[in-house]
Amino acid sequence: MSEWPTVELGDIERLRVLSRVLPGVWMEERVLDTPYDRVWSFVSDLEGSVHMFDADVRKVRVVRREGERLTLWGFGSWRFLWLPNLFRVQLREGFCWMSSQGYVVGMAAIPEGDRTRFVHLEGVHVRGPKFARFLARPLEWVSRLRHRRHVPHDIDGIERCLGLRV
Amino acid sequence: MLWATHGDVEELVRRAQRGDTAAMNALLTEIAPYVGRICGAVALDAGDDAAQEALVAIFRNLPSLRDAVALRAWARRIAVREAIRAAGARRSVPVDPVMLEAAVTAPDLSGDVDVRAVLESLDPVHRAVLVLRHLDGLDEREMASVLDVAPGTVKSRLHRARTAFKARWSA
Repeated sequence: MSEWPTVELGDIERLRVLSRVLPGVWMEERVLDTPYDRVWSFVSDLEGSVHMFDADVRKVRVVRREGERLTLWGFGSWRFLWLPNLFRVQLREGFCWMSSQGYVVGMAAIPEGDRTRFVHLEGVHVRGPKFARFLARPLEWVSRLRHRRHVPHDIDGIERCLGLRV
Repeated sequence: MLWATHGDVEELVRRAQRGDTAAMNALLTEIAPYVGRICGAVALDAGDDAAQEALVAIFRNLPSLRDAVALRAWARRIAVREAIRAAGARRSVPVDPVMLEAAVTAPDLSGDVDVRAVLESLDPVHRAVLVLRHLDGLDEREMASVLDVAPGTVKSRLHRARTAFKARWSA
């Protein structure tokens, strides 16, 4: 008997699903003209990379690491009054999911020949009781609009850091 | 395993319902393989789209799920409908009790059977019946519930369908 046909959800598809479920986030997908290993070794070094490509982040400090589970502090730039944000992170090969009380970041990458398909998702997502999330909905809409520009800038930053863009 | 730790999954559902995105990500890991099996077998080439649409529908409507224990049955219903829709079936295509019976009494998938070829020869709603039987072992009543079968459909047409179904199955 042959196998029953099945569908496996890849990491890129996973972010596509989550981006459609979370109203305050924006997702951008781009093919980077450099090999996957180079891209992922850069972006997965969260302490060393995030503040390099994201202008809203001053620094990142990992405070706990258990396998693919991390806990880290993200410190905002002056625009965000240098405020810290505590993130729970799932970081594994080709996939990163960071969530705090009100913010979420996702990154995924897969090789495409000598190039890399890279997906980045980011935005506000308020958790809590249904009523609180209802009240926060306008904030999430504003977040989505803002991140429509911010997320592509982040990917531009990654390309600059990798020497793919001047 | 997806459903081996029911307690954990229920907790994930409750957290995801409160908007916890870490729980949503974890729940996606738990539920995607099951949805993928349904959508892959029912929608075939449209399985990728169907699975994504089903998962989006599941997570968008998660706050309305009252009983976290019922997640699997709830997700199954959504996945089957999205898969049938993606496969191009008409929404209101009724599945007959006789067709359901045919699926239940169809021979087991043993021996040298090309499952995909058999599935491709069937209408999406009939594939759904097979998948529900094979994956979850649902009985006729349960399958009828998932597929919203209207009882009392014209018998002659059903009989022809059953005959064709069995012929393809044993071909």
